[in-house]
Amino acid sequence: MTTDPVVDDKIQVDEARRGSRDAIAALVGHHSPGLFRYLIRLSGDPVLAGDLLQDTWLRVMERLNSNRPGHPFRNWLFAIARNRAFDILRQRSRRLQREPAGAAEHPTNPAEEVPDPHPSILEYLAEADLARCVRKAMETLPVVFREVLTLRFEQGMEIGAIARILGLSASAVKDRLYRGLDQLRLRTERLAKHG
Amino acid sequence: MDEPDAVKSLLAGFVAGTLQADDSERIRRHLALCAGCSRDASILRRLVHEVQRLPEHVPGPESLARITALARARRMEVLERRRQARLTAAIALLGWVLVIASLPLWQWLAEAVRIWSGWPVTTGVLTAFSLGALLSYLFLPGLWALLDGGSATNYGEGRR
Repeated sequence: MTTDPVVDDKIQVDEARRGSRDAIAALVGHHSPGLFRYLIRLSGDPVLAGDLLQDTWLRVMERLNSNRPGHPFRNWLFAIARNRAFDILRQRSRRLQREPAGAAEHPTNPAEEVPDPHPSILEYLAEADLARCVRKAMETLPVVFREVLTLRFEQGMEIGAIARILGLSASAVKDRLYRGLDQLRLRTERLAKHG
Repeated sequence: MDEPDAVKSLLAGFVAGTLQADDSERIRRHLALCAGCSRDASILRRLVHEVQRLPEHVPGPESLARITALARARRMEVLERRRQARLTAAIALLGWVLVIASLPLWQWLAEAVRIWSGWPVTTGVLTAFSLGALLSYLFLPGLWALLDGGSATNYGEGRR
């Protein structure tokens, strides 16, 4: 086993492709925690995230041969999970006759984009209160912002990797990330002020 | 855009660690001089820190064990499907080889039937290709499964 996770993945994927039980267990065990966390952030529902996690691995096992060399397995795995998650979210969205998740990229209330000119309450908010507000704010963020924030800061992914997963250019990902941060700040401030 | 506005637009990138080195250096220098931007950067850093500390959700061991077992079973199914598809394709290929190799025999049979019965059987070629087509038709599902075994999910599908 090497110390490079990408090389380790490649070895495991090669073996899993041939049906190695140990390699499949290693891949599932290694990637599921991060993937589950990402799916929870996308769906906001641990039960649905669990279903999506299982569904993703079944799809991955079906299509393992199409994970080409040079494409890190993790990015490919997250792209498959994302596709499935958005399919489900869109179906739910239609069922509930809400707007599709992707259309929520632009805030419905333009006033949200106007920063508060006064000193921010976030400067002196206690850590525990800030943590609570950020958690709530993340839950209310449009999914497109939530996912880019979680991929960058929770999963620690590079912009290029996120761009591949999202099927966007690097500059579009950065733009989404900055706007996501901005939205997170505004929503956290509002929650800190009004509870 | 004056310097503070330009810097503000870059603050998120600075905190997110996505700026080029020269832009980062520019922001760093500015933050040392501008209390307002320094406060903004500090707030963004706190937010990022809290995002990184959001509660961890981990799939339970039972759930992981179930998913692993299902994943293994699915992979075995896929490998078995591919093995059968390869076998079917090989049989179809062999069928064609046999049909083509036996063309003289078919021609001889057709001629014998024509002489014996007087039926207008012209040549064995038609018969042979009919049989070949039949064999291929029978094995087309296998060929299709073989070709479809590596159906791709590319990154482009990720766009939403």
